Amino acid sequence: MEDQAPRWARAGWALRVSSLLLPLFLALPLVSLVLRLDPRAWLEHVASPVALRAFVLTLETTAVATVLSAALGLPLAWLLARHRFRGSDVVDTLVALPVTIPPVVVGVALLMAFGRQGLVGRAFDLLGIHVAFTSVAVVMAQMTIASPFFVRAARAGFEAVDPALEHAALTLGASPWRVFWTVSVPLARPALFAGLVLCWARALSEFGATMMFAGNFPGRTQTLSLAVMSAMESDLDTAVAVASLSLLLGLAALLVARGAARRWWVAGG
Amino acid sequence: MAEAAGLTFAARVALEGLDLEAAFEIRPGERVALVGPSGAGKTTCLHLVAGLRSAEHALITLDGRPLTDTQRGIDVPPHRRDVGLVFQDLALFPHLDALANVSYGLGARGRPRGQVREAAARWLEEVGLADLGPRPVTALSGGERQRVALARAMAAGPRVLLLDEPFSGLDVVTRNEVRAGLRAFLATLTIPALLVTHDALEALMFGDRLVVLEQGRVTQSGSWSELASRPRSSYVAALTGFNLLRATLAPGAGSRTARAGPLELAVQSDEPAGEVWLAFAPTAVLLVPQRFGVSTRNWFLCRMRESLPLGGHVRVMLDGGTPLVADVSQEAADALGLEPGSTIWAWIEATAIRVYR
Repeated sequence: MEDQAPRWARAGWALRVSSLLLPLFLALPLVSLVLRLDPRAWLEHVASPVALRAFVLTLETTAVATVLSAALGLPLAWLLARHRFRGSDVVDTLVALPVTIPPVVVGVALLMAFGRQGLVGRAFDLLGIHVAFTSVAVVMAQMTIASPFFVRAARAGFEAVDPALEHAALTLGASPWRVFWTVSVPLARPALFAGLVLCWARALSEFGATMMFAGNFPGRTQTLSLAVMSAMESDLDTAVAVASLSLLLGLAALLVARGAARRWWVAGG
Repeated sequence: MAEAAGLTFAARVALEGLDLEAAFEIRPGERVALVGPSGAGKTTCLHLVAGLRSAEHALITLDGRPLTDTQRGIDVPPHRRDVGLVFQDLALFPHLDALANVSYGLGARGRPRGQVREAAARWLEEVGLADLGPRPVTALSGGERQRVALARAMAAGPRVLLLDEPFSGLDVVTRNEVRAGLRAFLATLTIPALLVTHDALEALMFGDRLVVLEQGRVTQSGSWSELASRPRSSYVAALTGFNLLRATLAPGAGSRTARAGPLELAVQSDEPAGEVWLAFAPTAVLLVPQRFGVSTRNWFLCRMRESLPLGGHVRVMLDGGTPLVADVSQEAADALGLEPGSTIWAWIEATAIRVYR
């Protein structure tokens, strides 16, 4: 391919070689994982009840967690992008925090809140509602960890929308609610979609918080990443096969995001 | 309170680096140009009328209906004000085509879909873009975008039309075209129209009346000729192209002298002695290489600073102890051989100087 960069921007050989080190480092484990797969045994392992149940549960819980994150995160992201209000810094920090603390810690914190002896869990317990160690807990753990990724992306998307466009829509007689859905959201759409994919991808890879708060019960709370860990204790081939499923899902998320981004940018979105 | 038809505006707002305190009104069908230097608060006034920003103290009424009345705690939200605003950068919706942009306001008011499209198409036709409905606005030229913005604002059925420097983003040729079109359109309007500009020609073209806003205050308002004949600030003088001096008038009547800084001018006036404005047209300043005998008064030796050929005549900026502007014919300019830094005699006829308070 013809190099279009100006002369000064063309990297020297030293830069080029050293910039290849990280991709190599990142690719090596993935390639090793794929090479370890035995095609015939793979199908058998992947079709095993444990793997299938983990796969389906992962799809279900991550889908619910992503939809809920988007539904609750969308208005919040807009508010953070457009308004400074009392406590907006606190909200901002709260939304960022799950990204910076270890998921295991988040899981323990969730237990403290919603566990049988937890702050809210105690009241739930009286009503006969138990969320910890159920599929609901899996969704809650995923939401806690993954929703900030959506909120951050959506907020950046809304911030990039010229406020004059929202003002114009208002002066034309549209209510703030209508302006949000007909101007802000459509114009932030690429960022919102990127946020959805990020959020979903993060929920897919969730492990620590789920482990702590939902446990590792096949068919109920055992998602793909938990299934990989369980399989590692007995059979490496099963673990590798299940891990490859997870890898495929992650790759799919990335490709969908990239395809959508390309289509929107080309369309001048 | 007896409310007039049209727009009445009075507001006090503390902005960063500017205290805005202004009042004006516009009658139905009247076109007012709000002029002033950058940062004078012009756009803020528009946003106050549209309800896009709030004021500490404001009373804004439209056809007798209070839009903002801080004393009574009334602040109608922007989408219920019926104020049409054409934004400085137009703010067309980039994700919609031209027709959908124009339909937006009608759709927001919940009209039936077919009726909306029909009305929007009529408005596109009105501004001469009947065929461009399905075109994405990002694919339109500057002039076309401008007309879509106007049609969009008008289609929503506003009771007042506000235009915020509507020509600022256009090249010279397009600007002249769009100006002519907009002028013809505004002439047919029966609602009040307010146009913000800092361009003298636009103010002259679009304003039945001018309201001059400087540093958040209305310094002068009136027709162009009123402003031109009696400018009351150096900005208004510069806008209308007049020379303006603040002077102290000597006691007496008829022929007397007025001292403006280092200059002493002979003037004709029956104003009482004291602080006055002296205004005279650039064409009232005669430039010659040597003094000659018409009069012994009002001769000033000036240094030439700059000359601008304006087609047919030349505008000459002078420094005669205080800045002066003179207009001379191209032939005269050639004969004088004007060079920046050269010295020249300027003569101002006493009777051409207007004296007022």
